[in-house]
Amino acid sequence: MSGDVIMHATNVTKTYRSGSNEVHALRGVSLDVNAGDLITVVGPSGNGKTTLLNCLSGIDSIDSGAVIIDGQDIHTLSDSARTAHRAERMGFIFQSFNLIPVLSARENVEIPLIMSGASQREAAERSAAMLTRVGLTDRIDHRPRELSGGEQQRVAIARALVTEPAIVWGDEPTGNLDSETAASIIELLREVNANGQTVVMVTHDKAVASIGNRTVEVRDGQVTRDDNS
Amino acid sequence: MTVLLVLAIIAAVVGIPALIDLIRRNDLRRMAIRNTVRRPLETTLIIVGSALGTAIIVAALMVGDTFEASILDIVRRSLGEVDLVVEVEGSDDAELFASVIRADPPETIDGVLTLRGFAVAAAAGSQQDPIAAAPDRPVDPSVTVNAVEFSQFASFGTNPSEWSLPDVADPGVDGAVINDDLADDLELTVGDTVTLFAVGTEIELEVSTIVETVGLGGWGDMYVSTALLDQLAVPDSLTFDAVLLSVEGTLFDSTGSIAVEASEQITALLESAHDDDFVIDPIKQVLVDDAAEEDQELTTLFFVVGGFSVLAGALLLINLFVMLSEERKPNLGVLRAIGWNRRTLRRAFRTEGLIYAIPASIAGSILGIGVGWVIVQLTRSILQGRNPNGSFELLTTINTSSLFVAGLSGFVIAMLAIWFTSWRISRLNIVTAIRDLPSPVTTRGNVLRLVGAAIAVGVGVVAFAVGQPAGNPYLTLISLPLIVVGVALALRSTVSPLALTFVGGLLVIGWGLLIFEVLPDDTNVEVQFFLAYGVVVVAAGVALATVSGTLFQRLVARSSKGGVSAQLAMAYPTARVFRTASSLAMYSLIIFSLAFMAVLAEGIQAQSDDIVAQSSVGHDLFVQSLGTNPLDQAEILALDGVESAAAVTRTFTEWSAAFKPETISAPQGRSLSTTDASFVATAAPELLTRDRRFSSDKEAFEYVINNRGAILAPLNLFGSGDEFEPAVGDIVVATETDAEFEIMGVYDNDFTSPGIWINPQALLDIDPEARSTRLYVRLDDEVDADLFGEEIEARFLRNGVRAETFQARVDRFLEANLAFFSLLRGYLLLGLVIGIGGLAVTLSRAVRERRRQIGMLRAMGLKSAGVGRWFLGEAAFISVMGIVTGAGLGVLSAYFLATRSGAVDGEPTPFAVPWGSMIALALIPLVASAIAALAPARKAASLRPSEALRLAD
Repeated sequence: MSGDVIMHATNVTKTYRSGSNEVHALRGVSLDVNAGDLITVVGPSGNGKTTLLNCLSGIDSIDSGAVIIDGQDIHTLSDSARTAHRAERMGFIFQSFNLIPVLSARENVEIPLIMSGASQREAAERSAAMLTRVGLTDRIDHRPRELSGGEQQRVAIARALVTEPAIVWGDEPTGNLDSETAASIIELLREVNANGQTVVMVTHDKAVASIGNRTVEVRDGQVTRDDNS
Repeated sequence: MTVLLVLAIIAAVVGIPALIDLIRRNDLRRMAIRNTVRRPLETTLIIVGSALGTAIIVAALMVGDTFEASILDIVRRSLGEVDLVVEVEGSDDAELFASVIRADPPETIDGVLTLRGFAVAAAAGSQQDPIAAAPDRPVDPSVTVNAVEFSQFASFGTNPSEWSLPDVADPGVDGAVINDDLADDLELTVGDTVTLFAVGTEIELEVSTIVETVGLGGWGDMYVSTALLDQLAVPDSLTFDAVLLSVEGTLFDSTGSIAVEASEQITALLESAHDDDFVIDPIKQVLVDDAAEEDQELTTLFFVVGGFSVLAGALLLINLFVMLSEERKPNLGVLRAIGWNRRTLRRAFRTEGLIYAIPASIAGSILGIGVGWVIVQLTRSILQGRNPNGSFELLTTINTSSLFVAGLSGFVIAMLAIWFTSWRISRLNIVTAIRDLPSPVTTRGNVLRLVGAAIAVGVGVVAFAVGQPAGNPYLTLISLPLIVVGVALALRSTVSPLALTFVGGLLVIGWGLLIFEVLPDDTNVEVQFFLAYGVVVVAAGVALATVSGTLFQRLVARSSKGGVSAQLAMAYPTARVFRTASSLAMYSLIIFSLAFMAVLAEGIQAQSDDIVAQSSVGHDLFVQSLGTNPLDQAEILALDGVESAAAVTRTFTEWSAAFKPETISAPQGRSLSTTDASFVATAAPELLTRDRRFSSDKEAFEYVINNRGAILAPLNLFGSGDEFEPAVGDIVVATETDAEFEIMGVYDNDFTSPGIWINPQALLDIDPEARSTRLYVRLDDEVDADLFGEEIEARFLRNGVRAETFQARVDRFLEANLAFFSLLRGYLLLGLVIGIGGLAVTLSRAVRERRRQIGMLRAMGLKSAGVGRWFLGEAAFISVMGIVTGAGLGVLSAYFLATRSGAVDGEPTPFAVPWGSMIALALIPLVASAIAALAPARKAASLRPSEALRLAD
């Protein structure tokens, strides 16, 4: 199912400094992501999984190395250009859903579309369609506080997918959910991937880790295993 | 003192439990201190916000204290031990009455002194001196001279050496004793010559002694020997003859029963010994009462105006504590889960609140002294503008009790805000708090809501039923809002809250604007009512604005033109109703009162031309001279550039009315004026109404001047208000002669206060010695009236001439009023500072609260500039809503209350929107809000997405 390389990371290092303390979060990580991959990133807590996701997606800076997406090292771009690139090419799903609490489900899903320049009518139609796709037809005008945890994560997934990004990044997307709800979310992500979407997902959950076509293990800031299933 | 005691008790009730916890509970103290030091900037802002509220109260009380002390200082400076003044006619009567009192003095009287006072013009130097010809020769057009037997001073009062000039020697017929005020004005020292101009004569006197302007030293400007009176030949009608009396032990508290008793004893004594006319003036008591009244009025005025700012400060505190509690909700849920009960939660909050409230009260008290000082300085310059020759001095004063009252008020307001929020947060649901979810609605809540609705409607109906017929503006005002709240509560589960709020808000605003149409005509409205009025109307306006904001946000959401930043800028304020309403209320309250005052000020300004036209009656210059040496009309007419000069004779007497007797219980003193044919030929007062027989105002005026039984009456003949207004055909009686006069026309009051216009002979019947001391002068077009006025003041110094154009006279009074408005508006700006500061704090906390969402949006592709625009837009959105609400309601209220009902000062004022002020009122807060929002906006924009998400997760 894997296709061309859409992201190529080479020797990425990242060190966090706090006073005299230094934490080497990434120590020369190299990784390729192919179109259509469903990669699960596993490893013990505090070993660099989330940092890897942040650095590869460009929401955090790196100390050295390169992350090439669409033929460009995104870390050589200005913050503004990198942000615009994320808006066009990436989607994000986080453990805490991170929905805007004062907007309805539809309005939350509309945000990335409006940022990418869609008209309001187009944004409304596409967001409604995407919410229908994730099974929330009846909940599109509800605010996050009126939705269950599973429903909120579905909204977050709809928001991540609505612009049809090249890569969807997930950071423990089932971490806040019960096992039944988590299973339905995983099933949804599988469907998304089955439709050709590339997904890179950090997880602790072994069951979730097993769904990927490829598992990357991160320990002490290094990729210690990269299994293609 | 009662207020202080009540405040102290409330402060003890709300503060001592928290203080005990702060001292004894280590856990609560540790948590409170850590919470306050963890975010020093926000802690500082909370303290500053609360301190400003306290400062406003201190300043209001300080203004009152200053006026009270200043008026009481008149007692020290000009009365000393003088308590009662027996006013008599002629020096013979004065001596006669004094001898009666001295022969059988009541026990309480410890001083009797007779004197004869009169006004003259005075100039430094001799007429033969070179200085007399100098243009800058020091002159005083009105000096009060008292002729007295100097030997009386030594035995006047309990402590003559301090108050009564016992060592001052009689200067003889060539000398004068002057006080240091006059010495300063005329630049005189002992041995210098001073020239007096009186009744066609000039007298040169040598200054023998200069006394301090204290006690009897301040009773008039100059003392001369009684022997000098023969040379001056001042007629009895122009003198003030009196017996001054000192009552034992009543130096500064003449309002006590001793003075009243003494007054009654003197009245009985004089009536039994002599039946001539006399009036006993309890002069000191009047001054002390005036001082207390002025203190009360000014404190109330500033407190009402400042009350809007104090409320803004209280809202800021509530807002901040609500945000604090929401931010800490999960932690508080955990604390509840591990064993803290609700009471402990409340105590924790109150302990922290105490750490803010104590320094805020102390800092506010100190700051308030500074604010009060500035207000007093500005008021001093306003008073100076109103009366450049006035001797009233403002003594900057703050009483210790006022300081305590203000400090405790600030403390109590802060602690009550903290108690309210601690009670609110203590009701949290543990599970939903830990999970940071909204609390579920319980059936019990619904039952309570319906009970609350029934109570609100019931109380509202009763308030109207009781308040409206009784003319109680407070009960009437609050009645409909209570009913609206009750109905809204009852319908909340069946009707859209947006619709309920919209309709309810409109109803309450309409009710407020038309409240004076609902109240009976004779309703007495105190200035404090406007605070209650403002709170009710602005609360409704804020509710309406919040709903409108939601509708507007939905409209914007349907159009992607504003982008994500604009959508978020409106979505957050419209979703966080309580927080937004508090911020909006802070803004709206202040802008409401600023706009209200701006419209009133514009209305006053707009009256200028009308007032000048009414006062001048077609003339250019208003010339006054001394009764002891009046300026002859012919002397003015002889000057180049004078087209006409009408002489006006004015005197004073008591009047009673045969009409509307229920409103006028006793004869009242009013001035009366008459004039000559030249005035009548030139112009006439503009009449509001006139008898039907006259085809013009001029015809009516001419009739009155030519007929003894007719008068023109001012609208305020017997006071303000409909019930006092005279009407054509009404009969009034001059009690001096029992002569009856029919009102032929009514005119609006003007700035020269002619009083009743009357026939010349009728005036002389009432006061045979009345002299013409006023001239209405019309100048040729090419003559500069101001310059001409200055020239005749110098030329006719001996007549004590004061000349002023009508325009300048009106402008001076209006400017003083407008300056006072400006002062109040400046005072209100403190509240605006609170509002803007509050917005900055609210946004700062919002950045922290929304860190996770900012991180997510940044990850999704929202640029940092977009985040900045979001927060700036949010500040602008709240500001604009606050400005529109406050300014709109302020202008509407001014229109309905001031210009339609005349509820503000008894007389409807012209309505004019001050566009310049309104634009400034919109732009200044908007720009200030944008500046205040810059720091939080930059902070939000600079958040790195990975950092924001990492910290949040």
